[in-house]
Amino acid sequence: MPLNTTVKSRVTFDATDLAKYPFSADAVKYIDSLGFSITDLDSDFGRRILERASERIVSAIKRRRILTLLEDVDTEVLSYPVSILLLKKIQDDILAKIYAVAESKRVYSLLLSEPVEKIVYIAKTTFKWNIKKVLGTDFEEGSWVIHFSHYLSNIPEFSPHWKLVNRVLLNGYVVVSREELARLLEEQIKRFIIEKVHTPAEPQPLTVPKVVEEYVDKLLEEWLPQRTRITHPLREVEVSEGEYPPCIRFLLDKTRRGENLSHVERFALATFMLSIGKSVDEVVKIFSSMPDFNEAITRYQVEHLAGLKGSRKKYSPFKCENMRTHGICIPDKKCEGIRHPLQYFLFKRRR
Amino acid sequence: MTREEKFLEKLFNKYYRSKGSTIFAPSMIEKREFAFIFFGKEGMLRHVSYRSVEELKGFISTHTPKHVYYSSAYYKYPSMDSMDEKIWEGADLVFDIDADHIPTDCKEEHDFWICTSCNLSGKGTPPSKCPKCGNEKLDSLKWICNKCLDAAKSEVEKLLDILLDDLGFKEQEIKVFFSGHRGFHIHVESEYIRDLGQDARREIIDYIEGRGLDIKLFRRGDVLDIGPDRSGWRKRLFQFLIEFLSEEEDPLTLSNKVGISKRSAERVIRVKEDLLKVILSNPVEWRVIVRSLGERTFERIVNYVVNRNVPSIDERVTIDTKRLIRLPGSLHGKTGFKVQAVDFSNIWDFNPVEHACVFPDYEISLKLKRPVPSQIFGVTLDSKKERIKVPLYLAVYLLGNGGATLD
Repeated sequence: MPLNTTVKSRVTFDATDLAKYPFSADAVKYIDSLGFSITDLDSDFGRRILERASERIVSAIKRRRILTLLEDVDTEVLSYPVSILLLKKIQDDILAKIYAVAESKRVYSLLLSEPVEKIVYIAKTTFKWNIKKVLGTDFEEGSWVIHFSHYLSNIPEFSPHWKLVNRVLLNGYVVVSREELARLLEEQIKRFIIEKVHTPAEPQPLTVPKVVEEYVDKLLEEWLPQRTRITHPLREVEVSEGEYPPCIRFLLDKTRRGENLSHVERFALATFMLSIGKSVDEVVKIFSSMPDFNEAITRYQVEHLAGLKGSRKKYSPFKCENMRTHGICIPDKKCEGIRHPLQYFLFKRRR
Repeated sequence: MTREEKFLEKLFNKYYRSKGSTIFAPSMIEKREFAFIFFGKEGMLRHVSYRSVEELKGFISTHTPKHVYYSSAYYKYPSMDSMDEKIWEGADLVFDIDADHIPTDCKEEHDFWICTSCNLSGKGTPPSKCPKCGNEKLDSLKWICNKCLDAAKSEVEKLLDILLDDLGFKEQEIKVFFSGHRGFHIHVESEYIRDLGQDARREIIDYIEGRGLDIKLFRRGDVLDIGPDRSGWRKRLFQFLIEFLSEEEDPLTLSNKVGISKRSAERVIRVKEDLLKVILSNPVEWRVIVRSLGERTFERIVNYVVNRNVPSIDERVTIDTKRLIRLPGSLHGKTGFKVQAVDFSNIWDFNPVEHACVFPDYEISLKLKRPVPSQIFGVTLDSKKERIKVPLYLAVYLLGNGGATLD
């Protein structure tokens, strides 16, 4: 059992903390000190770790949450990087996200009972956040402030409460409470895990003992039926126009009336149509009733948006927020709770 | 290639080969994508990268591009064709302030539209269709004047205030450039913002534009947390409100401007003086404000004073983390002006003819093709004459903009 207790600037980070926060800089250092390598997974201890690592992922899939087990700290600490290893082998963005959300929620609920100094300690040592304590702002005794860039990268939701414009900003630093720091850290951990799974393993290709492959197979058996349930094969369904969101219906009507669309409106309409599976030909046809229609130019532009020309990037339709910014969001009652025009159509379909 | 384009290309080439030409080297040049548009050619050459500024200068002086751009983004492989293969590693924060987007009355004097079908032309912003032939495709011809540029400068000042005071950037992290046409580009290079994604950049824009500002969230219990000793929006809003409450306005104008009923406007005027006292007192009592104005009316006023005071910036440029921007030191193909660094403590002294002009002022003769303003940069143009004699730098501007042809 490790009894590695570090006291840094009045923060105690002990063995239990390593198990609770296995992604932290201290845990990484501890894991390094164990000298455990991938080949060691092919052992009894290795199987125990693999078992716990799979359990983390399965629990995320089935219950959307992960428990923290404190009986066997070494297994618990090591099971986290092994979970990442398994996810790297599976290479599924949706699963990675489900796992990252569950893991970060687990951490958030633990952080809520920690002193603010420990939250700050993890944020600083593991994620290099720029946080400091300011004394004597005249309305609050000793507030913690975080650099706005670290704040903005980790805003959990775009609500008035979190909007930078509504926050107290002191020369580049945002005043935050303990709970808010924990919530920002949750977001950071979620992104951190997703990035970890995405980072290509070194050396390539990633060779693992056979026992790891066994666990990957078992996990896939659990995951694949769930996956089909979650994902909607968007491209294979026929969508009728009545199911389009109001902003898109408005733009379609406008083209039919033979009115010109602005650049932004064209972009919004074309990318939406391409996303629901319309072909380049079909999209070009939609624009053909506009007074300044030029087939060659339109075709080039639509192909560009479809990722066939120019930057070779397929463009996604604007989300609702961007539609609003451009002044082309025309919400109806069913838009409530919807953040993306494509979501409108899915919501509607499910009802 | 037209005769005019050949002429401009030759002049640009002479400039780029001269000792006086200065090309600005973006930091980490090897990670940037460059793009070019050439005289007499359609389309853009993209996905070009250089290991050094010398290499870039060499290319520019041999190929003489009409426009030069570089990516605000840093890429691992900037010369790859697709964005995915380029591998994005971060981007500078860029702001575009263009007189185009700022309403000024001088535009009615110096901007024109021309019908692509019957050639009818008129002053100011184009109508929705040609009044003579009904054609909806109208070209606009936009020209610069000092008034437009001054409007842009004052927006730059507002933006710089927020970047320095609120967001805490250091002066050496910010560079201001004249865009070569009707505005300014502000580049911020800081390790803090390099990794920020589009959502975070949108939040910065929303902050600068005061968008989503919710005055109820500025409350701390019964106190409205604004005042001269606060920071950021809490200070700015205090100043804006003081300014507003000190203005004399009749009810009708006020109701139109602020978007409140005439009755509410009358009420605002009635309680103005008392309200000013409330705002100037410490602490500012929320309940007193709401009692005298009503929450809705106060929110409308806040909204109004915010909107009329925030800088006008082209937000798409800032949000886009893969934007191509004009290379400082290069010439703008439509005007011949250099994209010139402007010392932001002297921004009001900047004037394109004096500071961004690289061509001499000997006169050459041109034929006017399209409507031009009666005056550009202090040079009077007689647009009734078919042939005019103008200094070379102005000739480049007229030719580049398609306003004239060589005689």
